[in-house]
Amino acid sequence: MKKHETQIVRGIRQALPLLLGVVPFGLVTGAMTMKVAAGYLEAQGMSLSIYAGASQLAVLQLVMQSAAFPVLLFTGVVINLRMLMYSAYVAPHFGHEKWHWKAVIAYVLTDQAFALSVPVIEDGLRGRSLREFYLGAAVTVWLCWQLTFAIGAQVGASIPASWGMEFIIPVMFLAMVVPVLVDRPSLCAALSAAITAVAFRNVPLNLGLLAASMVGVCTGVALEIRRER
Amino acid sequence: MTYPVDLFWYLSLMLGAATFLIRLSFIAVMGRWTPGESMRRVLRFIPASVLSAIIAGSVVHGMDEGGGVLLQRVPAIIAAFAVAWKSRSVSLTILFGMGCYWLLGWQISN
Repeated sequence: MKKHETQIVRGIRQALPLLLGVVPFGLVTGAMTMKVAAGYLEAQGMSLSIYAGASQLAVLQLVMQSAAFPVLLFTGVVINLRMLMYSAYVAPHFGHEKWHWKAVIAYVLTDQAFALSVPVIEDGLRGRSLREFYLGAAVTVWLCWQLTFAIGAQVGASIPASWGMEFIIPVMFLAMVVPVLVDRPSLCAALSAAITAVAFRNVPLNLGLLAASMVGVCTGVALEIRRER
Repeated sequence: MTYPVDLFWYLSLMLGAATFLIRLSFIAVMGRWTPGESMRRVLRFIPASVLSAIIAGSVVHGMDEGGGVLLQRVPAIIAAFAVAWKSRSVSLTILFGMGCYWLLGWQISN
């Protein structure tokens, strides 16, 4: 029993430094959600249901631009598709768990939970110890997110509209996108997507966004294939 | 602007369910099937492409109706990009990006 406690505590401890990145993100998303939500209940409900900051912010930005409902939904889903990779990575180690554990493990699977579990899985942590470590870390991130979101929502409701706080969404995305621009294909993917989005800005229903995303992905894939030849 | 309450809940619950299924996907099938090389490739470029498209789209939003977009948001986002590139810090990027945005807004209105 002592050993299991240690794995939970170890997970919590290793999650703490990552919370530095979660706090501003949670605050901003909470504040921005209140700009379009009817009330606090709706805002926190969205955060509990989706629990994926980037897609939540993207959806808010598109609501402010009056995008059509299917475009909102589709964009949110596409942004979260990256989690397929995380799910595939942890699957061999959690596949034998009972269904209720699988559901909890899946719900709290985030960029941070994935990043924290890679080193310990590579290190050979398995079974119940791994589950406890993972949940210790992932639930800590979840708690931090929901709490800072709630604080942001309370504070955000009182920020005057004249401040133009909405601009924080593209700035936040910029801080997230720059670290993934690690080589020429990813840089060209980002650049071509941005240029297409500007060119197609007047396409109805914000469909230009989807076109731009596809141009970006195709550019990246094409350049990578060419580079490998 | 406030989004209609019913649509807001539909959006929250539908995107929540879809996101949960994405997360559960491979865990549910016990990792018996793993994504192939071409799928990995496509997934790798999605965040950079979608986020960049949203950034660019939101920066030029309303450009054709005027509103000082080119004078305020474009320089501010370029400044934020430079800071993000050099520092890789979320807090510094927000600080400089929003600082530049407010400074330019204040200058334009004066």
